[in-house]
Amino acid sequence: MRRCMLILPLLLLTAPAVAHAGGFATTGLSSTPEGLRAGQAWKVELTVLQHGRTPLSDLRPEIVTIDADGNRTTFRAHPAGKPGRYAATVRFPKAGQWSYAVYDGFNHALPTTYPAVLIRDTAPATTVRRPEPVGPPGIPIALAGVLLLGGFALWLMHRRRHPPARLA
Amino acid sequence: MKTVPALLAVAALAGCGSDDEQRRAQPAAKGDPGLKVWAAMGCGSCHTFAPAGATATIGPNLANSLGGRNRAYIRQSIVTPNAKVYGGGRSIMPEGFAKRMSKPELDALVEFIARGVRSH
Repeated sequence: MRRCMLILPLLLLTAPAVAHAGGFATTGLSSTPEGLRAGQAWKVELTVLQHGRTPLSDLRPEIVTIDADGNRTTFRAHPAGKPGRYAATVRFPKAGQWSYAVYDGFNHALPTTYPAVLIRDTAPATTVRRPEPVGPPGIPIALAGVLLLGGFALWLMHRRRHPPARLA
Repeated sequence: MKTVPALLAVAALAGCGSDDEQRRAQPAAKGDPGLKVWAAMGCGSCHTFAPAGATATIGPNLANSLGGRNRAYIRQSIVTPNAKVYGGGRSIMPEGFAKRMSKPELDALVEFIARGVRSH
């Protein structure tokens, strides 16, 4: 009886830890979001293995992103066709420092966390360059004006030499 | 009476992962191949390791279990987890875990952990 009294507190102390150890899974990521720009898609595949060994299917893993203000966004991963494999598409909508965590869907109390990642600003919009016109833009207009004036002068001279016949 | 040592071993194993990360290390360098392997293998699901931003408590905090150890020891801890178990008892880390990695990947992971534990 005395031995039981000694063991019982030990059992109570270790029971949660033992239960904890029995219900864990590892989650591997096919890539990290390092180098991404704001709004760019991070397509990642998750591999969830019970006890680091057995692929776990029928789970609903999630990736949670947290911005610098603590706002959280959840992205659900979907089965990727193989046991234990799930695919997710994650977007970080704005530039800055973000943290993220993966919830494997097996034991939601144990997220896998990663170092914070710096998301860069969106890439500058590509502009279509048109070929520059040769010479200053005023030259074609001035040339047209000179031609018009010349034509008008010629018409006037022609009119003076050959005035239109008047009707009697 | 045989049960007491067994329970103590379990307690030691359970306790090894419960250390909170108090000391912070430098975050992993940008594009660190070791961090990529760390993430791919799911190491952060079990271990606390500041350079990887990992806070899990299933396994031991690597700053404690591998702090001050050389690369050979770290490699052995990955390749043969039960060779030397921090805190005693039996490791819950899967045997054959390293077989999922190529040699360059294992090298990168060992290097990443070695650099991380050295900064503590």
